[in-house]
Amino acid sequence: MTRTLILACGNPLRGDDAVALHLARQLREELAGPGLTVHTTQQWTPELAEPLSHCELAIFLDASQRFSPGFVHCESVVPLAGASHTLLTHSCSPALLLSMSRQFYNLMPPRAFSITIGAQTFAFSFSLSPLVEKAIPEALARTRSIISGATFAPSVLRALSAQ
Amino acid sequence: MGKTITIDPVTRIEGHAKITLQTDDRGEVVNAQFHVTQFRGFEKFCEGRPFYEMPYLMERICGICPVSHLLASAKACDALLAVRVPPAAMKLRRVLNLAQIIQSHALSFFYLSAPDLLLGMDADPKDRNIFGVHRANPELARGGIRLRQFGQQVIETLAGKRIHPRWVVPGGVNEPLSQANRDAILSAIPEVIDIAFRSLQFFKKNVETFREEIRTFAAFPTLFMGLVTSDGRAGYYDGHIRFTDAHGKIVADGLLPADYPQYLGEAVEPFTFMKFPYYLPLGYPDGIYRVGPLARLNLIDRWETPLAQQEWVEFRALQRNAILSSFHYHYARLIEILYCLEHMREFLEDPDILSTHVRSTASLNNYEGVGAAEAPRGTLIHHYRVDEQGLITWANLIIATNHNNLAMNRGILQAAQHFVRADKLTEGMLNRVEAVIRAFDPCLSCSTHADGHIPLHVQLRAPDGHLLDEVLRPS
Repeated sequence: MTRTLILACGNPLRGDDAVALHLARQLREELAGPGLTVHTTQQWTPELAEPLSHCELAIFLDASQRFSPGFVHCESVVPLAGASHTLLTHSCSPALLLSMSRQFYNLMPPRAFSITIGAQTFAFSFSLSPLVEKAIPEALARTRSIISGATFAPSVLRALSAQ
Repeated sequence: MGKTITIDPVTRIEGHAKITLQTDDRGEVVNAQFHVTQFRGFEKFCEGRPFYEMPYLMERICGICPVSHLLASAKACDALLAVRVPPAAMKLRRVLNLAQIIQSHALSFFYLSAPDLLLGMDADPKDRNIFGVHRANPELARGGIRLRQFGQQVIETLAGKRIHPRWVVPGGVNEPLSQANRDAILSAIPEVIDIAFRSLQFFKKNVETFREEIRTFAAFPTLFMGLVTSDGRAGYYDGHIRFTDAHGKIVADGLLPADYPQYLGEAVEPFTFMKFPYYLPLGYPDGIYRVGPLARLNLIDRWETPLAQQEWVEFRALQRNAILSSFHYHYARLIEILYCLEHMREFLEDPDILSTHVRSTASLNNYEGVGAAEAPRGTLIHHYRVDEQGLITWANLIIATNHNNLAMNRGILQAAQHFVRADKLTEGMLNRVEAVIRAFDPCLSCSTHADGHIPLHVQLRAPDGHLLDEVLRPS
């Protein structure tokens, strides 16, 4: 069984959208081992629900313009409430994937977190903007901290995110 | 005075489109049009680019079947180089194509069409998705997810990534297959064959409940076109073009894909950006033909893998001569998944597939090249011309979905005339018209995707403008 599953989402051609892929590469080199799987993807797709169903810890890495550039936002992920959801093959979410994992396989990771890095631009580019580049060490540290077993209450996570 | 009913967008297909239905004074549907409302322009903006960039530019046409464009484009470039692709590379390309067909067919059947087939055409639109499929039949839903996942995993294992890989190059592929990766794929095949087989048995058990749809979903005589091998098997990666008719008779055979301008014409209509290819000797629109899973199963003489061969024989027994209902694209798709899995195993069990000689090199030797392959939805043709520097001067792409354009338009008319009552629209009526299009699994661009929860507003007005009925489907 994969103990920890890291799912990193991003497009390497769209500037800061690739930040999760950078994180994934470093985590793969640093933490490679039988208990950890790092998976990269260009979008959240329903097929990811299956590997989620047999891990103990899931960490979703992504970029978003909902946060200011370089801001590292951590939060626990919980499945969407309710039995019926819209599923768009082009717009899934970590919460929806957890719902699918629970509904389709009767299993879901007991712990699931998302780490989202605030992005400056998603314009065509192979490189990250300086603020986002600078956020990588912090995002890596947060990821390592979650993997090492630190558990955060939602309030602590909010506080961490606000730092 | 007649009325126009608009279904916009058509949901659970790849790309953007709408349907308009025209009624007469009595409220009978007299015309139906399938409008593809997006425009891509790939043929134009690749002009001036070096030919060796083409496989990676062209695969960007599509997010669902990029591998098909990658292969057709690489084959067109092989022709420009006049290069002989090493046998192992040929086999690896074939395995990649089979994986592509598996994942795309799984998406079409289990994610997009199974909601209609399991929950019924009249089911609440909010339930018509993979969650609804799971509630109705958990095993089928999980199986569909697993089949798509398997196809994508094979693509990723071979080509490095699931979407827009760069592994296929003019002259071959750029990396051999390792034994560990070969063994990993092979070890998963029995499980997915079992899933495909069970899904097919489930479909066969339930297909009779759709008798009315089978009779009215683009169920009419047309020609069928596809690639076949010299001994009459399905030629997914290569072969020659064969046309058969509604009686199962061969109309033309042994045609070279490169000669397509001699037997395919392309018409345009003002209401859509999608062209209307037709069989040139019969003219437009009498030269209507269909491609894709249904066509492939209609025009081959035999299949070589045991389970698929048995299913194909049973399928062909549904109707004398050719199977004419486009509803049976679904059935054909499931048989093809089974075939692709069996065939993939055969290739992977061949020791030569691990050969490290996977690429031939050459300089530009021809100024014109054509590449063709069977994409999940049908025959795909890429045709390029280059100058002495190898820069593209002209490109023409005949996309699989285009071949079916005439049949899709005629098909929605047939279904609308049967199901739509113009004085009282229901969701189920409109969904059946959409479902005709879904049966063909058109790939209108694959750049975007419309699920069943896009806003839809249909108004039915009397000749005096009075509102007779209205359907509002919020986002």
